[in-house]
Amino acid sequence: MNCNKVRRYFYAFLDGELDVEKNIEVLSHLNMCHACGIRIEKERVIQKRVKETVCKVTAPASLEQKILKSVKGKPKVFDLWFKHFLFRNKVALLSGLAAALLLVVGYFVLHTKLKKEDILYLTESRYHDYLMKRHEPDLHLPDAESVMGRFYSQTGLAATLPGIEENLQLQRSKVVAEYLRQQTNMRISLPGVGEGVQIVGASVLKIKNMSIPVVYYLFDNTPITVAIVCNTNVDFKKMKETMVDKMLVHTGTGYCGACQIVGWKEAGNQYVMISTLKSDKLLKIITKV
Amino acid sequence: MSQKDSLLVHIDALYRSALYLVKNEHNADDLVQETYFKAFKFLENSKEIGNVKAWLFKILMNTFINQYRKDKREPSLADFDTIESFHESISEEISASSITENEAEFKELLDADVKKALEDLPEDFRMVILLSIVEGFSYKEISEMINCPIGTVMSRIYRGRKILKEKLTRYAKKQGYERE
Repeated sequence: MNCNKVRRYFYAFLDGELDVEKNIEVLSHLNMCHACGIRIEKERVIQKRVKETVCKVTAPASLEQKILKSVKGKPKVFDLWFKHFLFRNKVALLSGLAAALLLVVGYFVLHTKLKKEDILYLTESRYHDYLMKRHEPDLHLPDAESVMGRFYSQTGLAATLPGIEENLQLQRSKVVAEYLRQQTNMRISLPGVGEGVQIVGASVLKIKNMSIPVVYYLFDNTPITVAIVCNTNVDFKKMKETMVDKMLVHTGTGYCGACQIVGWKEAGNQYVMISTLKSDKLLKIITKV
Repeated sequence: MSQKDSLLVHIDALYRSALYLVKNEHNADDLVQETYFKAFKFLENSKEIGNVKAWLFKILMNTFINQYRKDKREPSLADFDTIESFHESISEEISASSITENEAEFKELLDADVKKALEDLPEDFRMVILLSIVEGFSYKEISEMINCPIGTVMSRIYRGRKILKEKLTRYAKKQGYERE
């Protein structure tokens, strides 16, 4: 090996990634070549220096407490729900689709005018509670996998019927819309969702004597909240405006620090407000259909 | 040691990588919290995890790539590299690079210089440098963590370290002059 060739292998050599044969070649070259010896020594010093500097950073003591706190004190009912929906379903887990979306739908202002803070707070707090597993839906809908599982256990047929996913999605939307109509006496149209997003449940929450419809979605690992408001009194002017996927998005921080309102868009006669954990990916999935 | 404790021993390692990736403490906090949130959630299903540290870093990297990266649509810097073209490209670099680095004394570098040089690296390079130099993961482990072929990992490590060395050489020389 000449100097140039040896130097190509410097980093792999330092990282212990060379095979035995190449390792010996590099070592024997380093034994007789002073220039390369100096060079690799420099590389070693840099490597050491970088490692030392980065390793001086330690996590703040409060972080561990925050993490432990966030996983403690979950209500048992929610655990059951969580297990029921997410963990019983091994296929979904394996395919990496085991996580939750939260969709808060709808705030129809009837007599009282709702302040902007109220809607933001509502959206964020529902999302936060859901994320922290402090809240569970009233209406539980079976996910596609468990429906197919039941079909399988009853008929012995592995169901991969064409369009079954889409049909289930449509059925679930209808069930949720009907449930919310019965509970709130309001007509609510759910926003279209992209592939892989599933509605798994819905709730109606009473806040300030008003009924707030909430819809729960599952997609990948990122939770999301969406609120639909029927009036245009919401003031987004104080929020930061950015363009996401050719769509004007308003960003602003919600009440818990981890939550963030990331945007709103017009959908029919409603306004859809979306909140995720610092991700615009789900916003696109929710709105592209 | 409980399962949670065995995960939490890696909190410093995860946090320092997170801090160098997102470059601010608030986001690093969030990124690490979310990593543990996902990890605990997965463990509820009592799966056996082989290499806990590597597994946690994979979650961290995935979360970072999906949620914190400035522009997800930006094509990866070195995605088209193969080992072959990687070796071709570096042979040119070798002949072109001067020996001026020998004039510099890296030991005199300030932490702030190292930090700046690292933070200035493109994200793709910064990621592999942190994983290899600092955390000592193998190229194979890194390739699994960031979902890249091993050749791409090698190429990024090579280029990332080259850039890092050039920057640090400049800073070190500056420090040298200032001392004189």
